[in-house]
Amino acid sequence: MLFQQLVNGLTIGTTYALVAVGFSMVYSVLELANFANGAFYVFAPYIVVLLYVSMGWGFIPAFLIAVIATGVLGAFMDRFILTNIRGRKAPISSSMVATLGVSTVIMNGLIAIFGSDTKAVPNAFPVGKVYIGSVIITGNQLIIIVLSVVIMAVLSIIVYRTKRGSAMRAIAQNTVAAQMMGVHVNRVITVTFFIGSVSAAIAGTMVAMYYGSVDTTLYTTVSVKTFASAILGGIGSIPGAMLGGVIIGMLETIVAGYVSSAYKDMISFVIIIIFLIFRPTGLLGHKKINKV
Amino acid sequence: MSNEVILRAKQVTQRFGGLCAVHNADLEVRKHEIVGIIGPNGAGKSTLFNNITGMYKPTEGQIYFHDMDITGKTPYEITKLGMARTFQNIRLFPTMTVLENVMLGVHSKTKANLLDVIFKTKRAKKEEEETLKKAEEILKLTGLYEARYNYATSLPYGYQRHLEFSRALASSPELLLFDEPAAGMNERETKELSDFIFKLRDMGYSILLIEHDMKLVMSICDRIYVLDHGEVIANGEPEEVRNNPDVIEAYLGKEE
Amino acid sequence: MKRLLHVWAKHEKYVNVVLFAAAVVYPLIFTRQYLINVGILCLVYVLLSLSLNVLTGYMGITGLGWAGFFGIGAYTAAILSTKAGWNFILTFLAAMAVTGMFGLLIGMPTRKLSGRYVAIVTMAFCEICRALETNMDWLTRGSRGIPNIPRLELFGMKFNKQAQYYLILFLVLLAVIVMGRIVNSRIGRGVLAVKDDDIAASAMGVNPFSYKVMIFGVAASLAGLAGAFYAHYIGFIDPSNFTFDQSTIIISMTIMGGLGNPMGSVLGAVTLTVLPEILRPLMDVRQIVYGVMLIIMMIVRPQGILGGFNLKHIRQQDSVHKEVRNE
Repeated sequence: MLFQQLVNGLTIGTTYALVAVGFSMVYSVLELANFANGAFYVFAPYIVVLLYVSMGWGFIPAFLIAVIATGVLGAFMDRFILTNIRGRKAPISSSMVATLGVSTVIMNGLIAIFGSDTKAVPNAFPVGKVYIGSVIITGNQLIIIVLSVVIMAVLSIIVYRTKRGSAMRAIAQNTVAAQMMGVHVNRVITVTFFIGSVSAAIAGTMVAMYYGSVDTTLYTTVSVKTFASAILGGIGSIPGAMLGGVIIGMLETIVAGYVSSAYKDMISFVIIIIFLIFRPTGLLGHKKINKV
Repeated sequence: MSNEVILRAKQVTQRFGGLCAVHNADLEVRKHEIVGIIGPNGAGKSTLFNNITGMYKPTEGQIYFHDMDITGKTPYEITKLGMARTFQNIRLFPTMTVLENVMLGVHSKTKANLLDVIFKTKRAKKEEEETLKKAEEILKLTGLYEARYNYATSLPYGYQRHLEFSRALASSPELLLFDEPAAGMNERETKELSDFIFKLRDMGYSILLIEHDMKLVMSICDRIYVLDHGEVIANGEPEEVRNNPDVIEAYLGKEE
Repeated sequence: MKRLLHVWAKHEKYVNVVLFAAAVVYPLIFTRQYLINVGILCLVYVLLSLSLNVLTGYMGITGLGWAGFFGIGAYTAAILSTKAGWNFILTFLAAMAVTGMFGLLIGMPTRKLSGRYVAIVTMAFCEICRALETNMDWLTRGSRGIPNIPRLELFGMKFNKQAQYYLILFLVLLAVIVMGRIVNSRIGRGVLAVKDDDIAASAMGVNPFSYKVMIFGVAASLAGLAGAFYAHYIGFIDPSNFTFDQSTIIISMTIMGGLGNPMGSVLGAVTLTVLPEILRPLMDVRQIVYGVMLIIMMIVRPQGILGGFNLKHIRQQDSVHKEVRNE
C-alpha cells in the first residue's frame, strides 16, 4: 500500500518537478513569479484535445504542435509584453501582474472556445502494467516518470553545460555584468521563457492523459504547487526544483492516502511554511551572506 | 582630554567559515578622541566595525560601551545606546527626502507607538515637532538645509556623504563611527571634512573612523590602530605608527 | 500630465474633499440598486487594496494570498453573528482582532525570510485557510457555506442599500486617515526605511523585524474589516469567495493603482471592479478583454497609475522653488 502510494506520488511529483524546473529557471533569471506558467500547463492539453480528438490527427504530431505552440506563446509573452515592462525599469511585481493578465486571457480564451466543462483526454498509450510484488506501475506512469526525468536531464545539460546555459546563469547572478560581457540578455531570457513554457506544456499534457481529463480549474492548483515546489527546492537550483516537486507530489499522495484527501493540499502547505521558517534558502539553495 | 574609555573591544575574533577576518583585536576609544583604523584592503577593518556596531556577532571576544557588555546586541539596540555609523558604500533611503532621512536618524530617541500615531496623541505631536526641529538644525549645520526636500539619492555624491553624517548625528550619539568618510572626495572636500570632524570633536563627540587617505588620518587622529590580516599590528599616536617598522613593512612600505 | 500632478499636489486637500463629496453624492444620484451594489463592491475592494498597499507598497512585501485574510475576517463575522448573535460593531472589531493576530503570526517568519519567501508564506497561508474553511465542517459548514448572515442593523433598524454604502465609505475613510497618520509619523518613516534598506535602517535604530510584524498585523486587520463588512453585506459566504484567484485580483488592483499611494489603491480597485461590470454585455469575452486591458496598462505604466508619486514631496519641492523665485 505504502509503496503503491509512493509510486503514485512519484508520478505526479515528477510532473510538478518538470513544471517547477521551468518556473525556477525564469524565477532565477528575473526574480519573476510567472503565473502564466500554470496557464501554459492547461493550454497545451486543450490543443492536444483539439488536434488529436476533434481533428483526428495522430497523437505524436498533435502533442508536438501543442508543445511547440505553447513554447512560442511563452516566448511571445516575454518578447512583446515583459521585455517592454523590463525596459522601463519597473518593479518586477508589475511583470507579475502582466503574467496574471496573460493567464486570464489564456484561461478565459480556452473557456470561450472549448466551454467550461471538463474535456476527456483519451490515453494515447494504452500499454500494459508492470507488477513489482504487489505494486502496480501502469505504462502511463512509467512514461511520465521516464519522460520527465529525461527532459529534466536535458534541461540540466542545457543550463549547466552549454553556452546558452552559462549565459542564463550569468544573468541570474548579475544582469548588468552579463550584459557587459556581451550576453544578449533579452534574447536569453526569451529562450528561458520558451523552455519554461515547453516543460509546462509537456507536464500538463501528460497529467491530462494520466487523469483522462482536463479542465480550466487546474490552473490555480498547478500555479500554487509549482511555485511551492520551486521554493521548497531552493530557487534557481534545477536539482532543487526537481526534488521540491517530487517531495510535494509524494507528500500529498501520502496525506491523501493515510490522513484525508480533504487535507492533502493543506498539509503540504503547512509543511512548506514550517520548512521555510527553519531552512529559508530551500533544500538545495545557497545562503547569501549579507555584506555590509 | 579625559581618560574615560567609552568603547572597548577585547580580543575580538570574527570567523566566516574557515576564513578568519578579525583575530584577537583589542581597541579602545576614549571620550573626545578621534581614533583611526587603517590597514590594507581586506585587513578586516570593516568587519571589526561591523562587530562593534552589531551587524555581525563576533565569534569570540567582547565589546563594551562604557561599562556595558554590548557583544551580540543588535544594531538598533546599539544605536539606541549612543553609537551611530556611516557606511563605506553610502546607504541612504532613496524613496525618502533629505529631511526624512535625517528625521529617521532621530528614530531611536523617540517613543511614539502605533496607538499614539493613530490617535495623534499630544506626545506624538510634540515628538514629531521636536524631531523636525532637530533635523532642520542638523541640516543647517551640515549645509544641506536648502536641499531638504530633494530625494536623498538625487544629491551629488559628496553631499550624499554629508547626508550620511547628518543622519548619524540625528541619533544624538556619543560615539560616531565613519567608514571611509573621505572616499571619493577631492582635496578641497577632504580638507572641509577634516575641519568638520574637528568641529564635531569640539562639540563633544568621540569619533572612530576607517580611512585610506593617509594624509587625513595622520593629520586628524589622536591615535591610530593598524590592522593587517585581521590582527592589530600596531597602535599609538600618528608619529609612532608612522615609524613602526612592522607597519612600514605590512602597509606603508608597499604604498611608497 | 506633469503640470496636472503639481496642481493636484498643491490642492490635494480640495481634491480629496471633492472626491469624497462625489462618493457621498453617488448613491443619491444613482439610486438603482445595481449601481449602489457596484459602488459597495468598489469600496470593499478599495479597503482590501488599501490594506494590501500598507504591506506591499509601504513595507515592500508582496502579499500573494491576501484573500486569506479577507476570508478570516468574513468567517469570523459570519460565525459570531450567526452562532453567538453578536451585532455588527462587535463582529467588526472581533474580525479585525482575529485577522490582526493571524497577520502578526504570518509576519513572524520575516525574522529570517526575505521578501520573496514571505510572499510564498502568504500564498500558502491563503490555501491553508481555504482548506480549513472547506473542511472544518462543524465551524464553517464546509463548502455549503454560511447562509443567512444577519444584515447590518443598529438598534433594530435595518440598513438599506444607501446606509450600507455609507458604512463602507466611512470605513474606507477611516482606513485612509489611519494610513495617512501612520505614514507621516516616526513609524511610517521607520517602515519606509526598512523597505528601502533594512540594514541601514537597523543601523539607525529601527528594529526591522518588529516593524514588519506590526505592519503585517495592521494590514491584515484592515483586510479582516473588509471581510467582516462583506459577510454582513452579502449575507452568504463560502470558501469559493476566498480563493487564490481572489488574491490575484486584489494584488492586481494594488499594483496597477500604484504602490505606496492610497489614491492609487482607490483608483486601481475602482477601475478593476467597474471594468468587468462595463464589459458585462460582452459575456464570454469579457474576462479576455479584462486580461488584455490589464496587460496593456502594465506595459503603458508598469509602476502603476499613481506609482512613484508622492504628493507631499512634490508640494514641498514646489514650495522651495517658489521661495527661490520670490527672492
